[in-house]
Amino acid sequence: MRIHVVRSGGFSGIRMEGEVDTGRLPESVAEELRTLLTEANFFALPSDLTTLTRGADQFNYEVTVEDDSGQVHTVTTNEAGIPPELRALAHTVLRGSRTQSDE
Amino acid sequence: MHTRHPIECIVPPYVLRSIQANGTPAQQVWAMRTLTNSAQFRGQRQVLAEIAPLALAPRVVGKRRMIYDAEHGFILPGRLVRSEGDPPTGDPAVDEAYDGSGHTYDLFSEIFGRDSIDGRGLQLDSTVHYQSSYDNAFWNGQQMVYGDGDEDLPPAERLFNRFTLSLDVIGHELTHGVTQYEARLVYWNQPGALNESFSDVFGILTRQRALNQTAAESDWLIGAELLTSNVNGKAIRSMAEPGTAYNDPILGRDPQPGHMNDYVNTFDDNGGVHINSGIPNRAFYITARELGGFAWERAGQIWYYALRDRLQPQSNFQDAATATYELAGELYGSGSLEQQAVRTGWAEVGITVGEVPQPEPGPVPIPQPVPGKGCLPVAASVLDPVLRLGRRRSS
Ligand SMILES: [Zn+2]
Repeated sequence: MRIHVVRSGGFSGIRMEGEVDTGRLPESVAEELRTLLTEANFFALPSDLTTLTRGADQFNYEVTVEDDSGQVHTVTTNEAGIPPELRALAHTVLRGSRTQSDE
Repeated sequence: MHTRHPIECIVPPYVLRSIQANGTPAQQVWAMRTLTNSAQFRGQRQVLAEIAPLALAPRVVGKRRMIYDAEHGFILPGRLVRSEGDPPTGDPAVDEAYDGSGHTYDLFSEIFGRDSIDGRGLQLDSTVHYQSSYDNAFWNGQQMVYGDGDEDLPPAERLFNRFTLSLDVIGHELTHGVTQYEARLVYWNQPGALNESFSDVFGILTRQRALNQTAAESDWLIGAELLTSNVNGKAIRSMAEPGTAYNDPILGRDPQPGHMNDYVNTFDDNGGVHINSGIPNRAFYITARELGGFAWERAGQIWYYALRDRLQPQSNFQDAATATYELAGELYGSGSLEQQAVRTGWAEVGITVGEVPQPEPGPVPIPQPVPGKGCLPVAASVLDPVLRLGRRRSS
């Protein structure tokens, strides 16, 4: 399963992008990500979960998952609209990609 | 050359008293400037003594700061940890949020006569320790929120420090609140980039004033303390040289343009609001450098009144240029150094403002009176100050 995350906006405006293949991750991390996707009911989520809100400097997120059967789904959301499970998932993927890109 | 009769420059005292009593702070400042800049009044200390205290006295209820701790969760506002008047807690994030929102409040209050975010003493709520390893600060429409950056990672892996560490970042976030109550610039494309730019402008002015820095002394960097030594960069943004703040293997390169020729069209970042803000940021920087001295005194004042009285939700860069140019003329005189500096600032980023239209062949135009520095022709000076510096809406 491939998970792709794009985070844009925020105070810095710096676009961060990361992708993981769960088959290449330590099993504990892969299991954590699968659990988050299941709990979020990811493939049933609307593709746009953006919550219109006042405010500024909030992150925008785009999460794309392709499972092992080839099913692909993308959810676009933001700080005010993101479900907690997706927030945790996005964080893990972006952090993991950040250190991976160091090699 | 025609010499204007002195009487044309005099705003009758009864009009000034009316402006004092009923005018906005902008009108009060205008009234005082008109007096202080007019030769007829130089030395008339009695008049100045009568006007100045009233014109300068900010109508302040007082600052009310509340700092909350999200304890690394995402429930806002979190647990109240420091209220107005409480002593420091010893938690740097809490105390920086407290002090920083105080400095920002003071800038708006003491320099622009504004009582808090809404102009009516709104309580200033800030939450720190938002989530964990959260590389951001934001305004959510009601309050300021700060993450700890990468403080949970080993120092060698950290890119961002906690977001309360830069005073200009705190000023930036609080100013988003001011904008929400005033111009209400929509957070998309050019109006959004203006929204961002005003936050950087009053953020850096908060820092400059706290450090007592002139325009020449400031580094004009936004978020200089946020980046750790692991990042190849000096700050998040450079108002003086947009596009030069960082160039790093992980964070990429500062994408900010400093000229309309390099304007970035994108769907990311709400249409590039943190990217194209480099253009109006640099216009402000150049204006302030042209004028010299403390940037909050003249350049800041012009930009503040534009935000408060002239701009609207859909205003674009050209609208901001026109508004600041016109305000500079109204506050300091048509053709004044201040107005020329504003024109230069925008011209340097590729936005033309204030050019005299080419005369067209046809009927001879009716001559219009030209106001001098701090001195308006009689009709304008007596009847129009409230209209000319009038607020955009009546609320
Ligand atoms: Zn902002």
